[in-house]
Amino acid sequence: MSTPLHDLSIAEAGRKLRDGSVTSVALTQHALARAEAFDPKIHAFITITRDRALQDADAADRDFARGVDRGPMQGIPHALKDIYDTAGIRTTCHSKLRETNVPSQDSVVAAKFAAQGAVLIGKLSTHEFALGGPSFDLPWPPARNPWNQDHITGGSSSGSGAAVSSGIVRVAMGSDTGGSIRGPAAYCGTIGIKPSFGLVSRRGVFPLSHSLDHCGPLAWTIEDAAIALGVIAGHDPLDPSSAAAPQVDYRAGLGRGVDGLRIAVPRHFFMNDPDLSPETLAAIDAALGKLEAMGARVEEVRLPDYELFAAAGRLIMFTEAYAIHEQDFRTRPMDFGKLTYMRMGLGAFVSGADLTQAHRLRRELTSLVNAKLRDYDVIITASALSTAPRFDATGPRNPASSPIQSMSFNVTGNPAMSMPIGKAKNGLPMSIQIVGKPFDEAMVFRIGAALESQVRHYEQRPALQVVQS
Amino acid sequence: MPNDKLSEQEIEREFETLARRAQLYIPEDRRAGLLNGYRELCNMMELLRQGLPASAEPASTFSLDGVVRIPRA
Repeated sequence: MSTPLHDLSIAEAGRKLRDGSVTSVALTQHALARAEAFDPKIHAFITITRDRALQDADAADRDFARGVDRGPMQGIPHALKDIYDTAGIRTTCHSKLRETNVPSQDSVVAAKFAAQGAVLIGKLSTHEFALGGPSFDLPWPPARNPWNQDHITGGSSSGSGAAVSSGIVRVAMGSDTGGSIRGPAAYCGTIGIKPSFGLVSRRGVFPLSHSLDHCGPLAWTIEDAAIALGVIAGHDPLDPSSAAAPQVDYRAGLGRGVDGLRIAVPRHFFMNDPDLSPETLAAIDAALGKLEAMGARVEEVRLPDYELFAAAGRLIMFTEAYAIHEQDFRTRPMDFGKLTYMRMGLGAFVSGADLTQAHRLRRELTSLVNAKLRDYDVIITASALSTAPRFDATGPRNPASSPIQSMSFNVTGNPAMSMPIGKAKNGLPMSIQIVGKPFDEAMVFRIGAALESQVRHYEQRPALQVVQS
Repeated sequence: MPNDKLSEQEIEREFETLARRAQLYIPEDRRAGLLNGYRELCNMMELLRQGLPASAEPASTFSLDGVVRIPRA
């Protein structure tokens, strides 16, 4: 029996596209069919760009036929969180305030995918302005978890997690200001990497918080994520936060194993958090045991308490977000969803002195984390502390707490990846977080790939029922 | 101004004053949620003030280079 098209990795699909055994049009029609079948249940998409996708696919096939090879994403369907500008295609930020916004230019990331001949399937649900959700008072419904639609996807890259997990696309772009890539990846059982601050251009992506925003992919496997990151990484002289980092083949270390590598585990980050479920703790310990059995040296370390990272990060995030939306807050407050208003509005109450303290603490925390990483190859810690909650168990949550411990590495700018490590008894995914030295995404992928080879999460998809139209 | 010393009434007064200063009209159905968030924000700010005060930091060591932009050798 041949592999279903959505279960072909990007690399496998690429080989078939190049030897002519599959076409990009076939891959694209398959992706569109899955979107049309499942999206009425999971609401991953705000806009499905069917015509554009089929045109992209046809162009990719014609290029293959002429021997033109634009790179590993050529002919591969993908999707973008609806905060990435796309020329001529509505970009809403999942908000009434930008319901009719049609950009005239592509974001840098969208342009890079297009230049490679990748196929854009559509624009994906998010929490409003990448912050307020999951919400039912916005022009579009929130994305639902493909593993169980009564449960949330995590956010804010909610549609990205749902679209990858359900097998509509192998890779979707998200953004991560306090965990918005890693959260949906954790809850939906996908890979999600927040790259180093400065690795991926943010030009043309609607900001939530200028100093904390990161762009990165959610993908079905680590190899898929490594391929996508290779396409979008690179210096952008027109993005002031972009780094002149050297180009890296993120796939080069995959398969090299972990023998002799050093892994630091700050257990105190998550051990005493009341949100940590015993099942998640057991899964984290089992994953660390697998890495040890493969030859890694795993040691417990002490970092500053997670609450300090969270406080500094959230205070900066609320303040920067409010600064972006201040005028609309004053003049059209009811056009924001309730959750967005109640989170973002907190930025109006932060003093200059407190913001300065947050930035000073941020620098100190960054320095301490990177000092620790001088003795280790990566840090491994919890990602989500439990499985995805039900929609009816969520609500306006205390902004100081989160069941996902991700903000720390937005504060420091280190690369951080969430990856699945198994399923809980309720059938929902559990996850772990691997954190690297600045610009050492290759090591994060290498260690993740070793663990992935043991966990093999990619062998099981959510059992989604087809919705007949 | 340690927030835990403020009464509930004082916190609400402070909240209203800061909202007015920000020229924020808070819709009635969002006021309670925002106020609740403000209480948590005060706790976060308190946590941030427990570290080394800005006055203890020698001049010229303050830097915006807290977030790594250029890879270090």
